[in-house]
Amino acid sequence: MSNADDMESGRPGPAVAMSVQDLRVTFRPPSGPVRAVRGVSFELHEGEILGVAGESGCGKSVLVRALLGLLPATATVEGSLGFDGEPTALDGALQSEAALIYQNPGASLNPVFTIGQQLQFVSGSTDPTELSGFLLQAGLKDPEQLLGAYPHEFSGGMGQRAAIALALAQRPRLLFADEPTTALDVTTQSQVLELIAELRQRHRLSVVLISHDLAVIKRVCDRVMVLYAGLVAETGTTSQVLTSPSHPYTQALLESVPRPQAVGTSLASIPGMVPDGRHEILGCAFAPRCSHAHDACITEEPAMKHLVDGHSVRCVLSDPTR
Amino acid sequence: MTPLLSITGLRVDYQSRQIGARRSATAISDLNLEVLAGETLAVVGESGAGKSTLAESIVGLVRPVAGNIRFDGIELIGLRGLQRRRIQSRIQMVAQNPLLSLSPRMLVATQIEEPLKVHTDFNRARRRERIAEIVAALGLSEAVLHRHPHELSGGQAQRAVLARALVLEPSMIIFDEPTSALDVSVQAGVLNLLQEIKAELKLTYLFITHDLGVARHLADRIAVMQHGEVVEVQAPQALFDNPRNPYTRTLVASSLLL
Repeated sequence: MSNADDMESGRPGPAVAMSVQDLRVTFRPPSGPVRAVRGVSFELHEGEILGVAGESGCGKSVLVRALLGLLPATATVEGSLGFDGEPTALDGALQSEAALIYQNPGASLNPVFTIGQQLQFVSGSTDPTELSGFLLQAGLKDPEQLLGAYPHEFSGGMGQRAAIALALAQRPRLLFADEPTTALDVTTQSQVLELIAELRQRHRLSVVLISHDLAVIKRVCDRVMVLYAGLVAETGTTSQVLTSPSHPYTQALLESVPRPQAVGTSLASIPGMVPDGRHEILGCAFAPRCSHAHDACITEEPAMKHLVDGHSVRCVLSDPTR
Repeated sequence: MTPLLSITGLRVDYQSRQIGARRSATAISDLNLEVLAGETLAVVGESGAGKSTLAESIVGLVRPVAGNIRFDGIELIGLRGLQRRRIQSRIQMVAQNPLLSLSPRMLVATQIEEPLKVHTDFNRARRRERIAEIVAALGLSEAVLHRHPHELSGGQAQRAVLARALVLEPSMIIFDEPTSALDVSVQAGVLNLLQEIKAELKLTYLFITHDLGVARHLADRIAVMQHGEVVEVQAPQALFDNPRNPYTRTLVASSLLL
């Protein structure tokens, strides 16, 4: 399921589908500016699933909405975006190439139209065979019958599959999935993740999958980017980041998950909270919660450091000269 | 160990009244379950399996149509008034969303104090003392007491709910997905706290969760529910290594673990 091995083997990497340079998002409510994303750069390769991890309030959803031009007018978005090698405006231009699915399928589906009507609006096709084909690709049974059904008739898992069918009907090159399985039951969750993995193969989709759940990331993502306080804390292949986490934040996140090795012991919780972006952050944003923090962490913001092929981390401790 | 709670042949139906028709759906059918004194029993299963209905039946929020629920030898079904209240103070419940469990208009301190006003004859000073004790045991700062729920973090809010549940010194606490609204980093702290106070106060837990990882971490035994019935009860290791029921096998196979 993972093509992480390809990248590690040193063969030429796949083409870049989307590149993001120094993306910054600042909300400007009357109470003063809130910096939600503070300079994020990354590349999304063609046909890969990139996971975006981090606690609530780290900027995961804001990042994706900024790329799609979906933020309210109170948000200032800076930085540059490239799609298919072409510079692309951050004003919603990417929407013609990308589909977004949400945590709650109800957010993607219109309650007053049948699924068939909604697929028709999005795809422009009136051919029932083609429309039911989208449902079939999303793993729904009896697609012809479902075309006449309304969203409220669907269970959670079916609703999320219908939302995916609607996304496919846009014939996107990019798929953004914001916690797509968080609201689903365990068995449905793994089926929907498998569906996403299968669709990226079949349609050569490039996927950005947001999840606070590292087990979800482990299951389907090729690479992962851990965000903290609107910055990339660590990025690498899923196996690099999950098996040799190098940022204390990534380590702490992993240790806070109940795992078989931890039964009978107490879990590592991360004291304190994610900074809310209202205050200027001096030094490393994670330092106040970090058990390894020392003087240098408080005075300077660490730069992104390259560890091995594709694995980078924003932490002074990872510097071998210190 | 003797069962503290013993449920036999429980059946709960929900009625839906539509014009001209009365339909009923069975949420729990012929459920049998024992919770031993001092253990943590986790109840897992999908939405719609009847987990929350089970919890609500025990605390008297829904009225079962058949079966028995015995707590410490006393039959709970049909128990009313003062007797019910007296027993109820020994079984507390903590729900998923702490902000929905707390009144947005009342100070945290007032809400923790309320059960003491209802169930005890403690005077004001004694109530204050008891609140201070419980708040200290849960690692909440005194300052939190004088705030409204919206001013708390997720972890603080869940601790405040827990304080309200613990203030009456119950023997058993029913948790209904108490950490699924929290980040893993916060969940870890709450789970640790639950382990600590359980040992310290010699509590019995009925812990409802959809997360098998959490169940394995906390539970002495795990009960699997499907379609309103308990289909399997086993110790965590045995359940993961050797699930007997086909549904349990699916559940174990599809759970994503790190």
